[in-house]
Amino acid sequence: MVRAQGTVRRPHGGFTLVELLVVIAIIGILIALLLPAVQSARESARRTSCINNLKQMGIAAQSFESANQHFPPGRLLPDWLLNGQVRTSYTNYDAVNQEAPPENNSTGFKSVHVQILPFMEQTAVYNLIDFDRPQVLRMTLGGKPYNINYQAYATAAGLFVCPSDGNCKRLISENSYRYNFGGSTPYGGAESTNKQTNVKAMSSDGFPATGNGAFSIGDGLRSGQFKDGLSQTAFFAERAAGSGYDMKESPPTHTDIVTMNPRSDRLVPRDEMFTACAQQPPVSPYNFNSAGRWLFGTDWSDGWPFAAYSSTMYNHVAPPNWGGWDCGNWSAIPDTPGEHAIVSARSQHPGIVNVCFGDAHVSTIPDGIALDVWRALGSRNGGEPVRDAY
Amino acid sequence: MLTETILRDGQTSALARHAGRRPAVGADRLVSVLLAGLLLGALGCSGGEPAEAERADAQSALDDGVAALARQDYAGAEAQFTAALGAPGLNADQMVDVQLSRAVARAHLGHYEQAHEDLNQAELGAADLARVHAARSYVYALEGKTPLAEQEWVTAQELNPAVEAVGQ
Repeated sequence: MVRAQGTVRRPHGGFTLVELLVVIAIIGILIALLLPAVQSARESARRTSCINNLKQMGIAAQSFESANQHFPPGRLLPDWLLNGQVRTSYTNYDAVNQEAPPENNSTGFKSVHVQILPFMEQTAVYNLIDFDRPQVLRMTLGGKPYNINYQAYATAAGLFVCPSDGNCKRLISENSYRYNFGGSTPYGGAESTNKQTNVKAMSSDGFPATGNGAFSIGDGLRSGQFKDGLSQTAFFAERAAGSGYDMKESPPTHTDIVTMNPRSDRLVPRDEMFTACAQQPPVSPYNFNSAGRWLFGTDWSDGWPFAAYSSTMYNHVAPPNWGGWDCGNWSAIPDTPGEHAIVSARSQHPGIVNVCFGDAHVSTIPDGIALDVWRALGSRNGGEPVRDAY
Repeated sequence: MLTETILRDGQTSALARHAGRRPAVGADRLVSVLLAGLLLGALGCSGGEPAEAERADAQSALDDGVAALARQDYAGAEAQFTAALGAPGLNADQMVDVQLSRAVARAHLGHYEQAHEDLNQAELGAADLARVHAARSYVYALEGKTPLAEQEWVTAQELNPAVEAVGQ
């Protein structure tokens, strides 16, 4: 090759550090420009997948209703039958024995998630579950599977996980979706921890202990009981799983659950509880970091098989992704029917949550939705007109 | 390839050879700082949740404590429960259970004041207060304070007529 006269030939073919840094800087700028677009596209894909999961649950609930003439019950009664005696006081889930004789021992904390499995093309998983035995939350013992339904829960491991839920670690039984139990009320189904079978109690502000959501305690609700219309009543929503942080040292995050201050073992009026839970809670080992999760290294799950505000239930007392703290009136693990809680819809999608309604349509609800509208969407029979279409 | 280009011929610094001046020590330092920053950032991102091993340790200590209590090895039980409480990973219900159990172990060791401290702590987070009162009744009984023990047991039964005795 003939070179043009006067062209300076580089004596060596290497690059200077400055040249390299410039190239790296240019590449960095290009990546910085491209990354948000790529991340945005990925989040959009995750959100779509998440919406699809919710829709499948809505369709499954509809199919359940078609087959049974009622929707799945939110939880069953009694919560715990122990040696033939209905326990009226606090259910100690740690003490439930799955090997106890099934004819006079049973539990009622079977989630909606479990009941709709056959309608989500998960009949094989459903058939693996032994419904004759009392349910236990213990998954493993000594590092080995303990729960008699372990195989079923493991088979359906990722079924109820939203891909955007960064707190889910793909461990079995984890849950990003919850069913609307309380409606516009924070109640868990019964009066108090010592009156777990009194489902007829009313709060002083006129709401039933059984709540006014899409799912209730005892018998499943029928279509006719949804006075506001199925398309105007939220059935399922996203609720990101707990943080898993060490609560002895870390303040709670908004996906964790704390205890209301002051504690109160009664049907606390809704707005009294709302105000109390809006306050910044202290660091406490009793805060609950594994809502909807089964943490690595522990034996106990709070995931989708179990009916509880600590696992699968939520309500519309507080707006989605609210700045307050989800809390239990009596404990940070509101798992029995007599424990009440504000557990709001929360997602890790920026600014929104996805909600599936009774007719199985899914809407993307902004965080800024008016509280009265949000509560109206949560109640099945409030008679409130909803201004906007969701 | 770029690195190979720079460092070829065994020269100490391609920059010095090519530019005919001293190595740009400041630029090298800049690269080092950038690399260190990246490393620190990566380490920072991996923090947050307690490690699986720590959780497993807490769970294991809890199980060992329960076993020690069952065989009436109260010193061993207290040590295991203390280890479980000190490690991250126990949920709120488990925290309460461990504190009640440690209170029983400490009462058997004659450490009544510490046992009552545990009970008071457990009371702050317990969802089942009847069990706390039952445990306090047991500690009072070991302490020889029978009227207080009876009073606590009555309170426990008022909360839950079917409450089970703790520590027996």
